[in-house]
Amino acid sequence: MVRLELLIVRKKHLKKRLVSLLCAFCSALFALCCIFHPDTVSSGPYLDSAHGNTAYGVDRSSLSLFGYAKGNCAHCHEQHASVGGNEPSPQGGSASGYALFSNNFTSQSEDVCYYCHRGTGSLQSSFSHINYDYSYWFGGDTINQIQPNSVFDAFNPTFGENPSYHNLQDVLNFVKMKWPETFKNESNPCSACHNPHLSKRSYPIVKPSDRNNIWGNEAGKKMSDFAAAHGGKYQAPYRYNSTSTYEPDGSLTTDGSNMPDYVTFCTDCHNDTNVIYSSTLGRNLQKIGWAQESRTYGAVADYHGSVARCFGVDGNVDQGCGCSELNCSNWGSLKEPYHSANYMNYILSCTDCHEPHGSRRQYLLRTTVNGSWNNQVPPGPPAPSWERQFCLSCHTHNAHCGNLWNCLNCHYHNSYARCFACTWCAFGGVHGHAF
Amino acid sequence: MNCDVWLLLEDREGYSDIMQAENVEMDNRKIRSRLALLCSFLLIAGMVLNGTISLSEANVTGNCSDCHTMHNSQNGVNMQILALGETDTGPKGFLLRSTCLGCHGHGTGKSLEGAYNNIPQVLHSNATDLAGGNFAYITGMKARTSGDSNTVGHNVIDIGFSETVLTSPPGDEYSTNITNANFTCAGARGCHGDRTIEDKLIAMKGAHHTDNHILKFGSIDEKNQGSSTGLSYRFLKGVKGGEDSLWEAAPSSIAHNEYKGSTSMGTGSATSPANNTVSGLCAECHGYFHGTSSNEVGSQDPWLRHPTDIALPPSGEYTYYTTYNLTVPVARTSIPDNPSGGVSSSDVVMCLSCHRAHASTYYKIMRWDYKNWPGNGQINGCNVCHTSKN
Repeated sequence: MVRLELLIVRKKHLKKRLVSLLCAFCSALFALCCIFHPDTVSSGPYLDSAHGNTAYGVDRSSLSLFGYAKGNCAHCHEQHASVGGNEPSPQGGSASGYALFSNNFTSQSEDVCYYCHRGTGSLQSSFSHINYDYSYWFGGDTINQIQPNSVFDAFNPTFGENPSYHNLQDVLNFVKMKWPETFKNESNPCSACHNPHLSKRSYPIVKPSDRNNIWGNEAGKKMSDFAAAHGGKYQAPYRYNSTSTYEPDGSLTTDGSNMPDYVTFCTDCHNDTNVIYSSTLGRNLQKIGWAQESRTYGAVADYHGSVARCFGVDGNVDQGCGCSELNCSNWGSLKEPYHSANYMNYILSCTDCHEPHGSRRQYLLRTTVNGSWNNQVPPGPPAPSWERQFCLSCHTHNAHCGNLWNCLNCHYHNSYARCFACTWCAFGGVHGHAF
Repeated sequence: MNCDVWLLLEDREGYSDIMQAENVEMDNRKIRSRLALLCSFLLIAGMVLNGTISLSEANVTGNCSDCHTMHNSQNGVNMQILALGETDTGPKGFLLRSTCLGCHGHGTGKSLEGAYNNIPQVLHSNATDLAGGNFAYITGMKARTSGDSNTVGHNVIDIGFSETVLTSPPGDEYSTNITNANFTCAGARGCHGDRTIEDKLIAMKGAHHTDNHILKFGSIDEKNQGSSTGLSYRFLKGVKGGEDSLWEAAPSSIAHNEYKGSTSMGTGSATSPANNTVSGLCAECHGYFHGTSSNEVGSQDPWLRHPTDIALPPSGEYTYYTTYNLTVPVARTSIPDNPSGGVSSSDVVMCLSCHRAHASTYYKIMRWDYKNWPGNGQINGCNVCHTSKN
């Protein structure tokens, strides 16, 4: 027994010595690295970001003339507003906050980001990746989505039939109120969703509640994760003009494991509790309860979110929610790839239907959805209307109790109105959720 | 005092009747000797305290003839010491044997000259530059990493490479009348000495002879610094600080200069540095960079220009700057008696956190190769403070 204890003690000592030796070795190695490479640093978050990239990072032409490297801080920040005795372009104006070369944010059309992220007149020496919209880059529609071709144009659309955009002042007003420690009067509303020192070309978003971490870049932050956590599945829509490749990357992956969890990102603001005023619409935005699984009347929830379907993919089979309607099939079916996938509860990504910056149509709705360009017809009435074409990107529909021209009049987030609600859901009370 | 003592001794001698004569004599000798010692001590102490003499020697030591010449001739030989490129062998003011560069710009491979390595060189080819930098990057004696002769340093006319682009200091808040044709080491057209005096030699008068131990580590006395050129950090009149004895020829995180910083803008002028800081000195010529009002420089959230003389924020990315970094030094609101290897949120960003004073191998006198970052793969000094933006 004593011998065993001695052995254990010796073993512990040996282990301690090994750990000490290892620590000493590592320390020596670190010290040697510091001695022989004192002035080199490893790549950090900024150098991994789009702006800090040495090949395509920030490169203001008036600074690159002086030889400043791509990605250099000076392209955005002027420590003294003078190089070689003159202020580099853009010139004029008083000193700007955060030592930026222009005012951080003034209005929908005046924002420091626009100086580079615009088409004609951009200060960026060259763009290797034009800022087309989501439908272009992730929807794959490189034919119809060549406008907008810059962030400025997306937020200030001069094209389209009924353009809409994120109102930057509204964004700033809201985030200042919601996260006053993070966002101030002088903040840039773009930074609610992007961190210019962190955002990557492949993963550009940060949540406004967590600006120091990229969102959507790793497991746990994907659409597949959100769907799984809320009793459903994500089915990626088709890429443009394809029935075999899927958003967002044109691969064969359909479960959203290759896609940022845009729902969690967007619902940082657009959730079931925040009250967000839209100066464009002149009212508060609809609340969105994408995570709510209950059909209970009054709960903020959506069928496109975590509320399960009442009908089968052909619209004629009660999925267990107690539909008493005898003619269910009249309501229509789902289109591919949703029809074949036949999931009980589809949980969509916000970006399946919406553009993040702006759109040629209302509510930032996409004009290329589920592989098809739906913008061939004007807004209704009369039918066929663009609004109906939009919904028909994923749905067929055989019967309706009213007009067939503007679906959006009745079908919107968290709508309760009787006619088009799930009136016959026994578990949902008199009224359930239609959209 | 001495008379009083002798009276006491006389009184004591009144008791000699009852004492042995030899013993009395011996006692008196001892007492006299002790009193003499005491008096000497008190005399010296008094002189020290009222400033008549000091405990240390003057800043410059050695033979007068090392620096001065009575006739600018010795055994028929001219006595001038010429800097690299200088040709003027005529007599100089204050019977000096050289110009500023004659002593401080030998242009050799040594950064410290003299028998005691106590003549810091501002123009040399040694691999290690001193804290102020090296004009050799302007002249081309040392290779520039980035920039050209106009952009890597302060082009004082003394080195023979005047600025050819700028004609006045950028951000010249006080209209100094400094031009590329008159910019020099000291005086009203320079940085060192008394900037109220036009002549650079007169502006420096007496500085080298001043006992400046209050600027030296171990005897730092910040309160009494800055009152004269000789009592100012590196003879930059009005500037306070702690001077490394080797001018940072062999620096480490615990062997370096200590710079005076402040956390307020202060009031400066063309001849007086705000808050006695080194950034205040820079602002004498570049005040519009430093800001003339809160409208110009802004305030935290957001700054309009990169601030100087502002404490490192005590939160976020800045809290990771904890060990003094020679590439990006900080200033102190209170100059420590010995160089400190630590950095805390009370420490201060200054102009010299990013720039050298004389010249550097980098564009815009930067302390690191900012212009070519990040393509150069080298350190970006910005990240020493902005630790999350590397």
